[in-house]
Amino acid sequence: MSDFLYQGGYGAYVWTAYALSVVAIGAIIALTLAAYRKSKRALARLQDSETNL
Amino acid sequence: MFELANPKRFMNVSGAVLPWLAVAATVALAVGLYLSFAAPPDYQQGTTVRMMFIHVPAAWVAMMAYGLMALASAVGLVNRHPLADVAARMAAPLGAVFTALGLVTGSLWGRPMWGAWWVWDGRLTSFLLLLLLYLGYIALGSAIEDETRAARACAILAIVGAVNLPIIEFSVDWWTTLHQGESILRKGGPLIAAVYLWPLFLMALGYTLLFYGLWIVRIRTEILNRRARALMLSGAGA
Repeated sequence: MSDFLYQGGYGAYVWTAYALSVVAIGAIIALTLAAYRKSKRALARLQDSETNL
Repeated sequence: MFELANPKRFMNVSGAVLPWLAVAATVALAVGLYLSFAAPPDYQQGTTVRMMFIHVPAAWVAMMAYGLMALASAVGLVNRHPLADVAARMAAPLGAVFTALGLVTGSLWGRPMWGAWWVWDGRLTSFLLLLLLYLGYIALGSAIEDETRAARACAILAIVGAVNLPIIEFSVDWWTTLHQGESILRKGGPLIAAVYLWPLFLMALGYTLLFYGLWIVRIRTEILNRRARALMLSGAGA
């Protein structure tokens, strides 16, 4: 296990690169989905109020 | 192609495709990640060879995204198709993130292998320019209030900036550089052993599918936003 973390002495570089990639890609996935849900809700509310007029 | 460009059609087709895209991207990334760490350390690069599996796909998607953005911009400019403009605008922030990841992972690879975080050589400099083009494109789009004018200005910037793509691609042949040359899509076959080629291929596939999935969701979001805006305008006018 510690060999795996050590990565032949390059652990700090390898893990930083992988961690940053996971965080950045995770963030764009979360932000993209959150924005989509928000827009969907907003449109549904508008359409509701439209039909209730 | 142009039938898809009808927003309603696009919503139906993309809604059906998205779940499959998500599954395929997840599988490719999961198997790719596993193979990345199952691959043995390289005889020259040691374990830093694992940088390749996230660096190359990020850089590849960054360039592909710009190419798609420029293409959509050209279609938007020539055919005045609003969905093409939306597609171009929605690709930019994603492309910028992948470009930044390409630069950062490259820097973290360069430090142990070249002894430098950064060098001003052709490949690195032209790739930094790609990030600046994305950021300039995003800034330009948000600076212009009128949607049609913003789309036109952005489209012109995207198309002119596309000149940078072949510069990035051939930079390693044109200039003496620390960055290694083309080692995969070259005449005479790849220079990389299969044990590294497979994780690289799967990660590149995963990154590509992920980009398309996120791009489609962003386009859908903007279509919903524009519907909402149209509803509000018609409501306010009534």
